[in-house]
Amino acid sequence: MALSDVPSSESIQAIQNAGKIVFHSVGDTGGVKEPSHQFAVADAMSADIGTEVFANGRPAFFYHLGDVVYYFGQERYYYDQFYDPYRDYQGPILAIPGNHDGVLFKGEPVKYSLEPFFNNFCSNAPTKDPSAIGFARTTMTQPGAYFTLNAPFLKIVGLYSNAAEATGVISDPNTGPAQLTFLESHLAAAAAQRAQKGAAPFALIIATHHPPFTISKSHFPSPDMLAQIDQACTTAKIWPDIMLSGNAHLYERYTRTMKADGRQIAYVVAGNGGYLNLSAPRTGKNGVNPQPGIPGNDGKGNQLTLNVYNNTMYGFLLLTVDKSSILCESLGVDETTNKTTSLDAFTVDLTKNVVATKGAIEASRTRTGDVISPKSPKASKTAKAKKKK
Amino acid sequence: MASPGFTFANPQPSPDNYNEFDPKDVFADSGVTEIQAMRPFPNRGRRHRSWR
Repeated sequence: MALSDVPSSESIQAIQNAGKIVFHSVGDTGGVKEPSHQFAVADAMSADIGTEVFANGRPAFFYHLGDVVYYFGQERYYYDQFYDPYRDYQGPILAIPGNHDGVLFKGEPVKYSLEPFFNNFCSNAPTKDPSAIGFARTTMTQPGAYFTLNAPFLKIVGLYSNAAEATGVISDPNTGPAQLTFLESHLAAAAAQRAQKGAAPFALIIATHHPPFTISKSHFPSPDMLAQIDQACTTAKIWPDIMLSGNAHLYERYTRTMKADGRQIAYVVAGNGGYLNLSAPRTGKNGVNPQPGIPGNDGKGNQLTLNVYNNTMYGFLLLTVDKSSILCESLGVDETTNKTTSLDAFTVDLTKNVVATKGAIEASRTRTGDVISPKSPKASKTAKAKKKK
Repeated sequence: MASPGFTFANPQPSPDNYNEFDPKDVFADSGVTEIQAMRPFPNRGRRHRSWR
């Protein structure tokens, strides 16, 4: 799908004129059990858009990395875990599903896995979902659970890594080859687009809910999924500049240096969007935490370095893409002060394929979160009451 | 800011109200056991209709 399907043509033109596109991303937002974390992050993201204009870096959309609704993606919880937290978010929200959006329990009243996700993110036309009563947000019109988003300066290939709690699967004998075929064809198309003389440059991002790499002791890396993606990239002769994932409930950033040509690819895990219980890291001998900055390998001969991790703050990613670079900032949200602070910032040079850590981000980018006290009068109480009838 | 048919944020900001959520909703079937299985991709008419 094209981003121009959703924002107005004036907005797309303003992004083109600005020479850059900015967007938010994070996964694992569903605020089950302890909604305060999700609401704090959502409020900070809403405040980050504020009254900005695209020329000044207004985020154009929120790309959700899955696990929108816990624990089974039920329609009845879209009100509490999606429409209400993002009621003040002045932009489109697109998403790939996470395992919790697709997993089923015995007797779950749905016709098929992901039915509520499709109702809210893949409708034929924008409409009001019954769960959005009292809210302005309309449904999204994504073409499916996996899709390519074409936007100015940017192409995001989003994949559905299915419903297992442990590792991600994009294609196996149970799910069939359709998604892998999609990936191969869209990477080939992206490579052809890049090779066209005079074509507008773009960054390529691949997104999956399950991360290829993680240090979370409660989650797992997905080497088989990564091998399939690697093979598709090798065949198409194009590689992502960044790979975004969630599932593990923390922030992690790795740099993978490919032995074949020396290119560097950033692998970002941003599963700190609001689900309770941030994930502790898997410790080594004598209980030592992972040490960022020490080069290791990915088990396939490529150097892999854990650059940064943070498992103490909920937050979100802010990505800025222009024709030659990506700036990715991980912002943590202080739930007491509602202020955002930088957890990490790095750049990707799209020409040289080099990932570089950036210093502290500019103070002007740090904004306060929700200025409305949670203890002030409850404006959406009426809507909530309607829902329960 | 949105194409025809789309709307995003509410016209006026409102305070967080999660303290009023029904506790049953907040805990959202957390005690239910999942069925571990790979799931086929939904097969609906719109699926991947607008690949670009």
